[in-house]
Amino acid sequence: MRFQLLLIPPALFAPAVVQAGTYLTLEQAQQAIFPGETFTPADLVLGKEQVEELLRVSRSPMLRSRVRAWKTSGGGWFVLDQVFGRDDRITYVIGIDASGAVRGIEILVCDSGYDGIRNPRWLEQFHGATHATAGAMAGTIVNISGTTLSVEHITEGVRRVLATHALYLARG
Amino acid sequence: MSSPRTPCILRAASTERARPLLGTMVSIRLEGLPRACANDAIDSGFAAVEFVQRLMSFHEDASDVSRANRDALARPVQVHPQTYAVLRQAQAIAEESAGVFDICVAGRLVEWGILPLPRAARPPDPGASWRDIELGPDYTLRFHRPLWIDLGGIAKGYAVDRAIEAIAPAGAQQCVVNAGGDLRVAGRATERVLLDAERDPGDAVAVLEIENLGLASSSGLRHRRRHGGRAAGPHVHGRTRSVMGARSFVSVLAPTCVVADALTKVVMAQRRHALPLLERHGAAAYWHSPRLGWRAIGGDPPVSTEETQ
Repeated sequence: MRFQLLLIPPALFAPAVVQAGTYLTLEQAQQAIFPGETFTPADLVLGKEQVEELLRVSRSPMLRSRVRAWKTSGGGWFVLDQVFGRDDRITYVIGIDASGAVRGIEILVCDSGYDGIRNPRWLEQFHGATHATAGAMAGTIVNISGTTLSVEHITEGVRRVLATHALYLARG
Repeated sequence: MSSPRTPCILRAASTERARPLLGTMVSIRLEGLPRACANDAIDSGFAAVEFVQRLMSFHEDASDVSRANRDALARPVQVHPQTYAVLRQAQAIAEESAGVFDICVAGRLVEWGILPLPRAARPPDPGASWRDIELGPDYTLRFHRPLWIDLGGIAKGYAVDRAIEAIAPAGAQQCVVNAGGDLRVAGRATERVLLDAERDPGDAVAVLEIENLGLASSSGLRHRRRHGGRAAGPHVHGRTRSVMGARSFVSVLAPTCVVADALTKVVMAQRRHALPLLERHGAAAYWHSPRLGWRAIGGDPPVSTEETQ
């Protein structure tokens, strides 16, 4: 057991040094949840009434009317979603199997700051190279202790995605 | 803080995934394994954490903890050997800390709205403590007064240890399991961990360098709240049943994460007086408050990086 506590003057400690919370790319997450399967984009744009129904059924906040979804070759669904905490934004995916059960949940990125959230091209950063390089800066600190992130809003997000699947995707 | 660029080939062999588990975010990072092997190993790590969650959740009706809270006053309740192992560890630390660490503080946490009210369980006797829990033969436990147990102050660390154990056979060069700041490092490389204590913009940033050990941190600062005009929070002193740590941050380093997790609560309550207990477990701690800064308890004092450069 070896350890040492370093106290670093803030002037020497650039915020960019902390790079916690960048995990899988979209493609890696697909293969982690549905290994070997292929994925067909099946996005869905919800109408006003559908959004209202989902809010009522899932009691979970809704950020976008466009649902980012893929149908898998094994009959499952793969959905990309984002939720917001007080200080953080979590981008995650849910794999739902052909019977409607959750096959897996993987977090892609957990970051603070909301830059670009309204940007319609937000999805692009989670694809391949862009995402992978973001998480691989040399000399970064990737571990944090002492911040207990609540995942309550992920629970809400999952409830909303499952409702979306049951009401719209699975029936599609 | 800069370090030489890592060759791409090494970086490509790093796989990290995260899932919402144990009410927080659990991440697992493996170095030195092909991605498919790493994915399998990480799956087994997450499965180990999920198993602990199912057994020891205060929230889930079917968990060992909920079954005990419902029935252990009336009759012995048999639990899974893993739950039993955590209970034994909790009871040992309760005894060693003279009740500062006590898994019976759940009543207070329910009262303060931090834990949900258990269904169909008799309200706890406010005077009940760890001494009223009897661990019997064949993985059974029994309560001698109405009480509620909550393993929230120890099970997260235990789950991290089980994940490390589940992943070990895969033979990764380096493995880090982090359950919302309670983490364990297995492997030869030094890991840097940011200790996210509350600080003013001009204060130093605390970064811990660790090898091959368990680390847990507790802070009441971000979670403090009021209940009935008095301070409340997730960390309850076992003997006084009052909130603690509302102004402090504690990190404990220990050979296992379960011990580190449990001892954060003792250090929070006793600060340097917890030293004998830390030493008995081969552990050390750092304690921080915005007014007094960082203090080492048992380990080397913090090093200001200006001195080393």
